[in-house]
Amino acid sequence: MNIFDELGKIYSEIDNICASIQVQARSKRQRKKESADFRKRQFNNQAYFLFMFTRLEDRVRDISDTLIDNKVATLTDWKTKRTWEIIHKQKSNDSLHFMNRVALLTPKGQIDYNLIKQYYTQRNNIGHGGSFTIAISIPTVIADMKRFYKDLKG
Amino acid sequence: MTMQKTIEVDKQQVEKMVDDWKKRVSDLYSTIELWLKDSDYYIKRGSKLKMYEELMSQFNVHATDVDTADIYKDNKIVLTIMPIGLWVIGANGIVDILSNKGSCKLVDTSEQFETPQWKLFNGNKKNGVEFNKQSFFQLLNK
Repeated sequence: MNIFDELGKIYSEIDNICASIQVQARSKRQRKKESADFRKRQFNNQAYFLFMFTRLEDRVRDISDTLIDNKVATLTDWKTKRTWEIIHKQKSNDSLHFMNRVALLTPKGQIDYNLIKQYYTQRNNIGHGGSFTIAISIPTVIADMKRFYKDLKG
Repeated sequence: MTMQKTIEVDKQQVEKMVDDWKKRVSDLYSTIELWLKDSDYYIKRGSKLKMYEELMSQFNVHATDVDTADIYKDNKIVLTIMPIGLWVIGANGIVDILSNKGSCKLVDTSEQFETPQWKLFNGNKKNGVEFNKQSFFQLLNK
């Protein structure tokens, strides 16, 4: 089982428990309890989304690092190599932006790039104390993350 | 899951999308009502959920309410349907279905303003299944 399936399984277990309690509270017209469990499910969504996104961030970092190192080590023509040397410097001083790393692995402006950018925006909202600004479906996130993990190549 | 087309958005367009979402949700409840005819179950529109998503705030569109619904058997709630959001990454709206056994998602995979294509994601089917009378009753009898 890969990490996304594993996280998805734990996420579902927690979400199912909270959903069940939420329905029971709704049946008993316990509005406060229903709202509290709805909120718990939202936090669960945020926590697992963030957890999954960090796995993708690691993957993007690893593949882009390898790509950059290989280019700098193997290119001999200065005209081509100079760009990679600048990128390598940014990598070394940790100033290479995440979305620029993504752009090294999938064409900028195309479907996968745009999708990762949308998720990255949500990741930043959650990471800086906010909440999702659009609805998130964790099963969809899992499917997308698995695909990115497999398809992104240096 | 389909990718949404990029379209120019203005206040009028956002209002149109919100109205379309409320209609799709209402039509969904009507469809379920038809499916439940002559069964031991019945559907009742329940409390309202406040809808005020980011794009609405961005274009100064007023907050609105969207209906939730409950499905009853022997006067007890067996399923609750809650529209969670219209603007979703990679889809055209998402609805939570909750029961005593857990939760699943109903995702509209259609393009904007096209006929809804509801898919049911209940955890064990990675790509979802078509939401129809059969899959709905499977969920009810789970």
